[in-house]
Amino acid sequence: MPAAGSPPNAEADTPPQYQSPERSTGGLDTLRGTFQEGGALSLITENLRWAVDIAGRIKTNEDSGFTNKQFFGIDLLKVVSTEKRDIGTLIVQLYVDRDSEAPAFRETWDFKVREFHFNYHVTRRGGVNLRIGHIQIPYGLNLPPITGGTLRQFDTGPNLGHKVDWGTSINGVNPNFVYEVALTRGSGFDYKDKGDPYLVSGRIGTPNQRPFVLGASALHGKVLNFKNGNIINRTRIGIDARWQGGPIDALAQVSLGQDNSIGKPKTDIANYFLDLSWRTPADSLLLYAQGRLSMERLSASSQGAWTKKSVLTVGAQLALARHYWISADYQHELTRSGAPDVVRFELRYRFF
Amino acid sequence: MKTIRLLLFLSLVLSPATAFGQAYCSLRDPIGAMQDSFPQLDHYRSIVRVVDETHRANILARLPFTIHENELGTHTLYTVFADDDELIGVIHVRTERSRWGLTEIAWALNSDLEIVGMHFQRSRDRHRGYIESEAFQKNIRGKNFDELRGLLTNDGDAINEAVLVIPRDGHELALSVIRSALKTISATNAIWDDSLSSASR
Repeated sequence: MPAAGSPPNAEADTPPQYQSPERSTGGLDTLRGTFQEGGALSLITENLRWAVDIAGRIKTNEDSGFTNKQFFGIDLLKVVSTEKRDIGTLIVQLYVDRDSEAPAFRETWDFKVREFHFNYHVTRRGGVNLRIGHIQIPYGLNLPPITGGTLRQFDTGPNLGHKVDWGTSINGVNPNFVYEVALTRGSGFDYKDKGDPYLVSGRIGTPNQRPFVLGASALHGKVLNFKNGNIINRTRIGIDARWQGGPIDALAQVSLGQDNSIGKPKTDIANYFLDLSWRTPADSLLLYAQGRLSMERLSASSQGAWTKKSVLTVGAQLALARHYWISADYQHELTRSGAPDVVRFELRYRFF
Repeated sequence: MKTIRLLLFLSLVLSPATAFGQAYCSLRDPIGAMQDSFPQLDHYRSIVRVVDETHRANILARLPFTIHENELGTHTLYTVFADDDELIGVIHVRTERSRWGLTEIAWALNSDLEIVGMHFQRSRDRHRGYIESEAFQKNIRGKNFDELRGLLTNDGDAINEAVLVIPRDGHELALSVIRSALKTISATNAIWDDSLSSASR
């Protein structure tokens, strides 16, 4: 190995361009603690990163009051290796949340698995991997996952019904494209087989490191609606695009498909989503605006009028210090359905 | 059942542990960069290390410029092997501050810590295309620490225009990239020298 070269350099005052880089808009894919090397538990602690996540959220409700929610979670990432090579990555995100007005299908204190999966490297170059567990549904802007635990969300929930699901996927990376194809339960957070739900989904796209990224997705199956226990036959095809230049990010997604619930007529669906954001160079402040247009019409009347619903959301995310983030958003429905405006605040503490 | 799960969860969260916080190093695996830089890649192994004050002092001793203590922290080195288990190089991802936000660069080094290539994992700079072009890459490819050091002025704060001729408006990003290369080689040598020596046998 090459030896050290230049004579010692006296440590100078930190120049302005090196102001603390600790602040960022945060994310579950960064900022994790690690463990000391060696020790009796080194088999477990080697290449293991962790964080404890605590958040409190306040949301306006229809009665002009507020509901509040608290989240407590752990976030682990472990690279599993033999002496010679990495064989896979284990991600564990376990949370407990407390909802002051929990819906009927949830407890006040509820245990949730956000992500919990092992991605095994079938081929040693990373071109083919097998993921099993509670995974992100590979569709559109849902990958790569950057909205876990944040107020800022994309179109996945309203469009697909679930963001995460129990199942398995084949995925891989090469210099020209990334892909993931999954077979999952179709029941979302909890594993439920009532009505035999299932989802087949997949996305192929250009590499995420490029300034402009394009992706194509498809989804088909039976989604279990956990609110009422109904099964929705759902099909989607979609295109997603992401562009970043300077402090601006633009994300867009178009999804077309059909929904067909028992007791309801088959419905044609067209969903459009746009997210524009601006961030400071230190990534400490993020401002964003989102527009969502959801359109549906009866499949039987292909010349019929579309029923439209459009929503505007504006939000902000500020890193207060190394471990604290504060967020707020405001949602307003532009079509006149009478839905109330929603305001939310979140304070998040992430210890590592 | 839910009570048992809640108690198990709380026991995990409240268990004492010795841990070190991490700087803004991204955890996006640079697999694409690895495949592109090392076509003969057969398998790889990642080694996570925490950078302590001794490492930082050793790194600072080689650099003509200072580095913020929070630029270090916890980092991953990907050791890359051919099918006969020969160490063919390493990938080390560094995060740099820039005018337009955090820039992440995946550096590919051979076993002599010479530059094999670089890939932006994230960059918002409009001069990114120029840095990725062959016109710039040929200036850094194959160079070791001392040869890269010669591309900068004595104080390391500017491009040495007598040696490296690049468009004026690309200077800022080029300077950041070359400084990043110097930091990467220094850090790799200081932090992972023992692992690389044993992997090379």
